[in-house]
Amino acid sequence: MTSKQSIVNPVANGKVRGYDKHGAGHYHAPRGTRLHDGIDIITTTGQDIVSPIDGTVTRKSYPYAGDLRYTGLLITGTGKHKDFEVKIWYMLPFQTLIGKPVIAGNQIGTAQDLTIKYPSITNHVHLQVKVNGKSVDPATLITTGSAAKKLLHSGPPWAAHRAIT
Amino acid sequence: MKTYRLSTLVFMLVAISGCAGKQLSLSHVSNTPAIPEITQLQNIDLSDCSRSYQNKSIWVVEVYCGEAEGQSGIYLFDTSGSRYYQWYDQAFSQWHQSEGCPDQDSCNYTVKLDGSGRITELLFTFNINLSSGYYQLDSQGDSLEILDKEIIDSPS
Repeated sequence: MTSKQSIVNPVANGKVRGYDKHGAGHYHAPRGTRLHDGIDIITTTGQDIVSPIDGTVTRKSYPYAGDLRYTGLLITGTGKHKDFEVKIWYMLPFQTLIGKPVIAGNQIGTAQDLTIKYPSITNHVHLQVKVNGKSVDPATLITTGSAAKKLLHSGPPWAAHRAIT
Repeated sequence: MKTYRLSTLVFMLVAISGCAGKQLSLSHVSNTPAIPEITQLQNIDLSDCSRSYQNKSIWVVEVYCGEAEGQSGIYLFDTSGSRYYQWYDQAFSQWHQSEGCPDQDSCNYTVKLDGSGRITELLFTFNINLSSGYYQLDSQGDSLEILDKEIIDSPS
């Protein structure tokens, strides 16, 4: 991993969702028969969401077949992030960005209210990152502070709300 | 990966009459059989516009591109030849098309064949993004009729 491959936390001072009745937000947290393919970063409804990478906003993405209220974006990396593909769900994207370039840190939308669908869940956005087509733990790429990174990857998995910036 | 010419496909279709009454699981394949109904779709990239499922000479081909009626939809290939159907659930199909299948195991068809080896039912199972479920479809009429379906949304 080179420093060029680091990404920006899409939520300012965002922390990984800890355990609630629906599970935990860390990468590969158990989800029944599957594993959590990304990380959940705690948000408040309406909070600004920024692009984690330099790229092009390829399209809107919908996490659910049966509930199109919840949306997100697919961003295809360019420049130093050319091998990246990022999906962020549970956010209302700025429609004008579809097909346009974005720079890491540019606002791309606002967080949605997930508690409408799942009462008692910790509100969050879901961040999924692929590098060269392979899923990776986004938390390992958010490297704005070495101490923060250490926080993320130490301690038991039930250590809730770990800082990632 | 193999691409079959029409003559080869017809030969194989005739040869599968022994499949009567069986259920077959179809594996996703990335290519598409070279058959007139598909090759008529000019100026499109089939690899981006279609998704094919195959078991021996039974094929289910989802074609997403082509604005003209009779291009976008589902094509079945079995002992009776080829059949075209419009999407059985437009909203679901649009979602399925745009989101894709994350890997080959995430989307699959199981088909039921009658005594002559003709597809009479399809079971499409999927696990895409945060939704999973199935559609059970009757293919004996002019359209694919939904016999049963289930869509389960899970939190991320």
